[in-house]
Amino acid sequence: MKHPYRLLLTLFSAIVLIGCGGSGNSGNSGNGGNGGAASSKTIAITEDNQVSILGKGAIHATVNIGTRPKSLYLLLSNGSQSQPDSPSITHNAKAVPTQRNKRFTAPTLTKRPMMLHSSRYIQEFDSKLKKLLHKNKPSKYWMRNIKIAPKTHKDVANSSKLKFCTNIDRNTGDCTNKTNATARKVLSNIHTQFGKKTLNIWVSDDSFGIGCPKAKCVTQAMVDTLANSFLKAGDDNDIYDWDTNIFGEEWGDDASSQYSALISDNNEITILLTDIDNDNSPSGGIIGYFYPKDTFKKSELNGSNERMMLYADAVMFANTDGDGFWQKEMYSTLAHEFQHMIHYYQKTILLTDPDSGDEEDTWINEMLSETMEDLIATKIQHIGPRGVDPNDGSAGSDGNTKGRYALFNENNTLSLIENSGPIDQDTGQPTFGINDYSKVSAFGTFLTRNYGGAKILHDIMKNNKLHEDAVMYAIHKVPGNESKTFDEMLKEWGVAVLLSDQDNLDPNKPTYNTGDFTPTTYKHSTYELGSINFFNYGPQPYFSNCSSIQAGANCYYKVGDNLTGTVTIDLSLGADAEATLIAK
Amino acid sequence: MMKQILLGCVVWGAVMGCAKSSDLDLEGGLYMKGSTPHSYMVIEDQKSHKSYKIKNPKAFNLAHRQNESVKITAKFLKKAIGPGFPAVIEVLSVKN
Repeated sequence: MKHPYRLLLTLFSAIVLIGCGGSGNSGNSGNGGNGGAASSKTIAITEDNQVSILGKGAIHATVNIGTRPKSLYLLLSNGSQSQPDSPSITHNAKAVPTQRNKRFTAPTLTKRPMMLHSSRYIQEFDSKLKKLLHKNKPSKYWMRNIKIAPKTHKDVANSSKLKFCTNIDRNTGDCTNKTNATARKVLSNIHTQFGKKTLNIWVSDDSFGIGCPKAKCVTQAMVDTLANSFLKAGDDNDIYDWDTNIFGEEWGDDASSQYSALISDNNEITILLTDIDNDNSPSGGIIGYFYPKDTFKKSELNGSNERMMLYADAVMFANTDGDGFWQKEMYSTLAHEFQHMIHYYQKTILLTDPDSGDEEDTWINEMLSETMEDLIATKIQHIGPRGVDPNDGSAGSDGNTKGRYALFNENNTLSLIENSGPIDQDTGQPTFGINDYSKVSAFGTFLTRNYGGAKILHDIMKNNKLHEDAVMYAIHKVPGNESKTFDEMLKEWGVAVLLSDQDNLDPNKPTYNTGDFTPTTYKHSTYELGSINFFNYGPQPYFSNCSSIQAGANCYYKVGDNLTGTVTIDLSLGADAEATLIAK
Repeated sequence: MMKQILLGCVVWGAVMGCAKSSDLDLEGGLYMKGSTPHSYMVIEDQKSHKSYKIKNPKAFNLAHRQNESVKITAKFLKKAIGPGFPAVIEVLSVKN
């Protein structure tokens, strides 16, 4: 052969050129992707509410609307878990001038209630403690079978007095803040599906009784009502029943058997009503929390109260303005915080690898708690996260400023999977802020309305997965969704938000709004899911130019209203973002 | 004389080696864990599959790198004590 190397080089070059030409997409011209020619898509709008996938990369879309005017939207979803995207969007001038969007301007509020389920000083406690938990490694078989009798400390209403530790030093675990409190209610031996339980309600002495030094004072009648809302005789009729029905029991002897630093199970739950953070605020601030420090023995952690307990803000609870709003908000909060307590036991203690010492991601844990509030809203006759009358299954009326979703609308481009609150100045940790509560509530209520109701919440918690895998594990258990991806979930959620003003969608479309309640039954309880229309809140959903999309986030772009004829749209997306066209 | 110098070098090397032995090279995702109010940032090390709670995320602006994969050198501070209480580290440097 005269020139074998030249022949080989030619063959090699040909192979490279063919490979770089790409496979193309069926029905489209060009390659798409960054730096390549745009893929072309032609879409005919034929349905009342149409959802069309445009895809990734560079896209040239020709949308034939016809003569029936439509509003067109783009949903840009970034399913990457860590990389933001910076797309660009252009489209032709509208064939018909658009009307002004219908927007509601919320009345100016002099003070917007801010209710958080957090307390900054608690954030870092566990990192500074001495060795607290160590897995028991008995050297003899008989040691495994010894059950340490639980500490008995029967509370007596209006008699028992204690100094509760409400805050600890993050480095030493020693108590730094205390409150003198008296037991005000003890409900003993109440039958539940997990056996007999006792509820102890304590109130800080400075927050109890007419004339107490706080802005609002807790009374015995308020305590009695709170107790009955949380635990009372009978089935399926209190917060204890509704939470444990989904998530399971709040504590068990296996906790202390596995980890000797933890308290044993005495089947008691304590609620401490106290002025959280001592802010004396009857209408905002931190309304409640669960603090795992209290599950430790005092010998291991000096600041422990050695109880399964929840903290509730006394001043807010005692606020009788607003026709019972604050009392119901407290019951809703207790359902939220109780999920955290159960979650800590059922997932962190029982399912997490003890060697890794890992917990669930914050956004998932908070989503479960927030969604629990939606599930019980009708049961406690509260507006809940929807902000709608609990007897009204529709999506309510225009201009709604109550609940969580007005704030979600304002912040609907936040990453679902990140804490976006202010950085704690002491610890440097990014906090889970009030906007984060809104977004996870919106996502959780999407899941319950589209993926099997209350059961999805149980399945998300009750597995040994972490991060989005925990959510997708549960999704994959829903028939027909075995191979769904997180990217697809994110997109579906965004589509559901955009179509939430339609209450008669095809069953194959993701839905928030049916015009009425949708019941969901799981185990022993039926929960009523009310309809949600994000366009009923003031402000309505925020539409941006989507020049930047956070990782794990959606961005909502409005092409225009009352469009007819042909609209051309050119998109340039990064590797992880995907575009969906919605016409309604 | 040479023997003393050599011995000194050996001792010094041993001390320096031991002083750095608690430093860790870790690579993995940064995540926020737990429920508020006690949420905290961890790095999930790909190699050991262990999580380490980061004591000083502010020092390297790690708050803005949630869910990203990072390579760090860290000082080991405290052993893991069980679920919800992972080992604690102090980040000394971030390599990416």
